[in-house]
Amino acid sequence: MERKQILKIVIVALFAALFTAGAYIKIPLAPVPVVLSTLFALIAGSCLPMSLAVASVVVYLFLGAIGLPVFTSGGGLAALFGPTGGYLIGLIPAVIFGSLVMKALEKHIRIAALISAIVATVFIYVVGLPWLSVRMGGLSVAATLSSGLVPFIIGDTLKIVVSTIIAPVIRPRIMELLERDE
Amino acid sequence: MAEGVIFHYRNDDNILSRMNPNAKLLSVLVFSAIVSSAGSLLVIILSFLALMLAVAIRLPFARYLKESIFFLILAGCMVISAAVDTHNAVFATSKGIGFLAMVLASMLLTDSTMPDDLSRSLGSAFSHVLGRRAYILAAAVEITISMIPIIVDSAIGMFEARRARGASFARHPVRTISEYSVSMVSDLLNKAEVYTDALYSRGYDASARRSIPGYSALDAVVIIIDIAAIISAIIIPRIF
Repeated sequence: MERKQILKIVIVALFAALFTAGAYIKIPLAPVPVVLSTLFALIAGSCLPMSLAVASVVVYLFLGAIGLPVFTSGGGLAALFGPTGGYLIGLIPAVIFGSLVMKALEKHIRIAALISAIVATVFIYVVGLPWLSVRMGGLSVAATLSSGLVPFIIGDTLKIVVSTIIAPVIRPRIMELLERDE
Repeated sequence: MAEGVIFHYRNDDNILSRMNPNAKLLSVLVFSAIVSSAGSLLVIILSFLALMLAVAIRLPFARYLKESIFFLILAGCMVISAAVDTHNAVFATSKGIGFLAMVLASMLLTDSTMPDDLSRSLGSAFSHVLGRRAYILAAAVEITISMIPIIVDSAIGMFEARRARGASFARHPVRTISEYSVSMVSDLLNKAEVYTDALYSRGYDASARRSIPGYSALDAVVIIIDIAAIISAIIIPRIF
């Protein structure tokens, strides 16, 4: 097998492991602690090629689906298809569209990183909030937003800012690593 | 430390540990699908059966209790929400019990199955549909599983080291989290090159077939029961 193919598989595996690590790191901030697994997913969407970003999220969700406690809420099908599972499934469109934005605006990397992080966060909630409402037996819009969005606004804004700062530093390094063997 | 926290596999000789990983995963999927859509009585019966199986294999409930607190709270919220919505206490309670039964089913799988065996078995099963890509996905899962303890320990170590050096996440969250994340990802990319060179030098081929656990008569019976159960779950509601 070519070295570049092995490198891609290793990068996918390491990012999936990084999402898991992020689920175990809680930054104590009000009103709810900030968990870093979503931040690392935003970084994956803005720094990795789309195929690798999606593959890393798929591997991460697969590990959780087979029962390993890699999510913030634990693991297993109950976590993935339970009320908060939408936020996990939403990581897939989040990294897809985050990656597309980065590729489209790559020449203006800082603006691209900001828009990529915002778009990715929006897609997590676009999937997560309706999922939460349905799985909790049909919550009202107000109840869904107050329980599924409002407590996390500060933390997610922080993650968007951090991802915007980090992406211009990390992305060139990853691209150089992947292009080295061409 | 991370290995003990994340990997729940228990080396025990019981009926579940002797089964093929694919047969067990199929059972968990079928069980979860039926429990999430069945009536209250069937949910309670199936949940009781899952609990009896857990007791029979001596599942270490105390070890799982701390991780399960989130699921218990979530189940409570589901019960309250369903009770307010339907004014039916039995239905609402069965919703919570069914959710916890799905959690228990996943625990039974991870308690009795080595993650490596499961990913390899799935790679082999999906290869009939996805071809070589299934083995590559399984290889990625295996490498991730082997790296999770290292990455988690490294992440927690860096986090604690920064806190010990006076880094204040609350006072300077953007700067502190940015520096921490850059350190983590840079460390990860360094590891990526080292691992890649190590695997390449060994002639590693992710798309190659790997040895997998075989299927026994018990696995065949379980798979047939799973298929019959899911077909019944689809057909019976349409008839009655």
